[in-house]
Amino acid sequence: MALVLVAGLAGVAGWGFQRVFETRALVPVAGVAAVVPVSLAALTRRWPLWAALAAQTVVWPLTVSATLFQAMTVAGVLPSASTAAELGQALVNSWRSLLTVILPAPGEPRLLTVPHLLVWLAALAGAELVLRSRARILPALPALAVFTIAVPLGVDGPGSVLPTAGVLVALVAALAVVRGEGGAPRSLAALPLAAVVGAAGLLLAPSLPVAREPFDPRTLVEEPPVARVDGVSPLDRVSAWLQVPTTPLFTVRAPRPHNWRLAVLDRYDGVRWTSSSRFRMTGGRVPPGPYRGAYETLDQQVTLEGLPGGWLPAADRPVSVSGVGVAVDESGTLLSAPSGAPGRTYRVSSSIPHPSAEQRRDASPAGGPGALPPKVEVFRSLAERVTRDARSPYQRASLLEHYLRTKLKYDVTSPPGHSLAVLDYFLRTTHRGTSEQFAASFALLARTLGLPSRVVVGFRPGTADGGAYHVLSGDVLAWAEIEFEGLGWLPFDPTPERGDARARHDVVGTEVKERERLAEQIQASPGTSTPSPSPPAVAHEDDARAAGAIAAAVAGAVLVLGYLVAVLAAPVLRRRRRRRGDPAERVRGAWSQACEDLGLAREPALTASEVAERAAALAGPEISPHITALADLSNYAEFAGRDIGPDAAEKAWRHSTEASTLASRATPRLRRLVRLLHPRALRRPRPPKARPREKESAQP
Amino acid sequence: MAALAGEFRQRFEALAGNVEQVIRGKREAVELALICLFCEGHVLIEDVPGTGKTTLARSLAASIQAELRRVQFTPDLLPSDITGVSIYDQASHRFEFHRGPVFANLVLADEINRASPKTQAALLEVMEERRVTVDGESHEVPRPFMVLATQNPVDMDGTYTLPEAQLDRFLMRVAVGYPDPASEVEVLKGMPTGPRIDHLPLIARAADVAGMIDFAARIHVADSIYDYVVAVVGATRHSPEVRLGASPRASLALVRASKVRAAAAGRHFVIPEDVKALAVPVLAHRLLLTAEAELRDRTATAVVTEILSQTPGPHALTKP
Repeated sequence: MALVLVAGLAGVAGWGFQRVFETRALVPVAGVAAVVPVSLAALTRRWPLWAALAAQTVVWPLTVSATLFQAMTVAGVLPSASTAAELGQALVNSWRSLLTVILPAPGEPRLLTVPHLLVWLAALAGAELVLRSRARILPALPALAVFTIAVPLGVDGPGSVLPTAGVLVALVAALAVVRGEGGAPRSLAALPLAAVVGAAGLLLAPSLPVAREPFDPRTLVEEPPVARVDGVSPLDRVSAWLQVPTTPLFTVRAPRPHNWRLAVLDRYDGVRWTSSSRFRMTGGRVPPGPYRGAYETLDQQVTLEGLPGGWLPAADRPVSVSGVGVAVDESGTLLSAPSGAPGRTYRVSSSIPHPSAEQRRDASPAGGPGALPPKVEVFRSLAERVTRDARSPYQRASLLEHYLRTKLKYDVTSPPGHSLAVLDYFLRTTHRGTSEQFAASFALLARTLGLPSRVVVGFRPGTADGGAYHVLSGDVLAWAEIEFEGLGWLPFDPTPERGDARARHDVVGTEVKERERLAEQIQASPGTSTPSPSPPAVAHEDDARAAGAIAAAVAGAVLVLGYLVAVLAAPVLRRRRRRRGDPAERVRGAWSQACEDLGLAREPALTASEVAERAAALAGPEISPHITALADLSNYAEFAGRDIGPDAAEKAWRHSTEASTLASRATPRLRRLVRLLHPRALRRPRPPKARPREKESAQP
Repeated sequence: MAALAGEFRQRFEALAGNVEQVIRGKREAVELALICLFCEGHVLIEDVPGTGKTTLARSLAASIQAELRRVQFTPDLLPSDITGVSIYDQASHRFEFHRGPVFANLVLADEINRASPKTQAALLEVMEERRVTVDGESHEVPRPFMVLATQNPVDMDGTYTLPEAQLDRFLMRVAVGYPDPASEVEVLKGMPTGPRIDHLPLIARAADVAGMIDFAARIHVADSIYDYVVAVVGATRHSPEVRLGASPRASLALVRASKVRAAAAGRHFVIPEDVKALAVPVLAHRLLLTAEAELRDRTATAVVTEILSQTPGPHALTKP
């Protein structure tokens, strides 16, 4: 039983990596690494410890190569030289990789070696402690240590580790009770107790006073440097590209046209928009964004021609990239080492979000607006004037977009730049600019209204040519995005349409039309100017939470009920057991029963006269004759070396019952209740352990 | 057996009551000394002067028709002053052995720690062997034979502390202690009129005492009691505060003393109470505490008491 619990503990601790790895990659690893060492330890329990450890040292690489590195093995089991090399590399480098990879990490053998090794060690240490020591809680500590390693590693990841922690607590409690006893029936009695402890831990844990921001070990490591060859921000290139609009940049083969996104700029210092992203190598995977709603998939094959810099165009939001080594950031922007050689081809698969009109209408902005440069009052007053009729954050953004599209003019020849001075000049004097100024000023105005905004540089879909879209430098387009709760970053295009928009599959333009209709709807609908308090997405979440709460409540009630039944039935069963057997056993049982009812069951060092003294102190002098008579009978039965008659046993039980009655009469009700419901009632009283400084005395 | 135990109990009570007429309010010390007598063990009375150590020994001797000899230990006392000497007899032209004070039923060795170690060793050898060997000839001491040694724990100048190996030969160490105020008043009142030791009635003859000693040896001891004794004694050897634990001789002494206590209570079998009540006087003086424990003012008595409170009784030991 204890071994099963230890294996379970190690497995669940390995499951603590759930925020680091994907489920289907992690489950088999945690399972194998928890079960195999425990089974092996059980098989080698007769061996000396060094031999058992040596066996584990041999079996671990074999297991890893037969499961994780199976592709590189000889005959599916035996590690080859390349497996060994790969395993060595994994042991040395994976720790660092785990701290720098974007979560969830890919299920690569190299990375999975880390949880495999940790869970294995925890299971091995726990099993050996169970088999070779009498410690109760100690075998659980290695698993808990693994869990404490796993949790910080997954701080950035999705999901919650709270249920896992609850299960761990329950397993530890079960282990403590099982190890404290012995024998299956009483071990079963431990299960409701363990479950109650686990549930209590789950309920109490969220209310513990802890730091708001969990510790993230990733802040301690330096990112592996990604070569940023392109020193020029793509936004600075917009004007230049528009001046020379016929340079072929790249070709996209895709079933549908879409705007191709190149770079995301989220920091504005009053002079230029730059990117604050931390790029990481993920092996071609792109982490999912915050949006969890309806989307359509779009596969593209991009062939680069004249695109300078390391940014790679793709439809938002990319899911996976193949054919080129890329680094990605949280926004899904792709960056690679610029090869300089045109003709490089790569494939991108993208999920294009399609939030419903209701979702957009009721959306509330996510988080703060981002940093603003000083002296933006002019822009703020303009933005407030333009959006004073807005009833929701989304409508506010739409009105801003509408104002820029209608009141200002698109002019390819206008001077480049997007510093505060240039934007002020653009908004208040010339009213003419390229998408560089339109996007930059929209993002700035939105920030003055408290909306989190950023600038995106990309391209219009380009010229269609039988399933391929040729993108020229003139197709460059900058737009802005605003982040909404649950929807992620939604694009807004403040740049006025050009004449040939329809012919050139201007995707953003059609979306603008839709947005304007939506804004009119919002204006027409009677409502307050605040977003509705429970958007549908959240409502779903609330339903799920309520269902979870009901399930937890039911489970808790079942557990509590089971515990009550167990804790109330155990003393009755004990009493019945004590009344069975030969007369000597029944006399002994009567004595044990009286001691238990006096609350002295856990003090086996007391002699009969000391028990009588305590009893008199507890229940007054009238209990003394009963206890004394019972003590004499029990001493005679136990130590006289002679048989004792059944009438003596009857007499002993009479005295015991009498003493118990007097004792319970003298005990305060509250203490009686506590004693009745205490988990101790589940177990047969045993001698308390000597204090740690006392070594085990020699007992038979 | 049970009837005999009742008889033993009566005699024991009578003896204790008899001695208590002279030495008031010290029932416990008297009973422990009597238990030593019926175990054929020796007792070390450690106490300040004037608490009735000598009176206890004399009234005990007076109650059981036994010869009492007293030896006052001094630094210049020689071994032969205790055991006796062979003297050349001019008339018979032979060496004749003149018995020393150790040839008695009760020997009161006053202030045993004032004599030189050599002299102490001579007495302790007799205590263990129950015979004196002079010039290759052994001379048995009479039976019952009991040494009541006293020492003053306060006055340390010019004393030779008894080594542990020799302390081990005493079955018990007993402290008489000052009487409580009521008993002291009794003593003061009784001074002119109370029974003098010379007039104490004789309760048991030498043959009776020998019979009682034999009976006590036959008291039943359950296996779980042996286990309990071994557990308690073993715990003294494992305690981190103890440099030297109790020896197997101590376990043996504890069982013997427990048997006598059981018989004195009119029982024909030993119960854990007997062991627990006697563990401190039987074990405490045999333990050597570590320097740290002594610095913390821990006493051997406290260590043994703690061990007793932590060792599960035989009830618990026999549980499956």
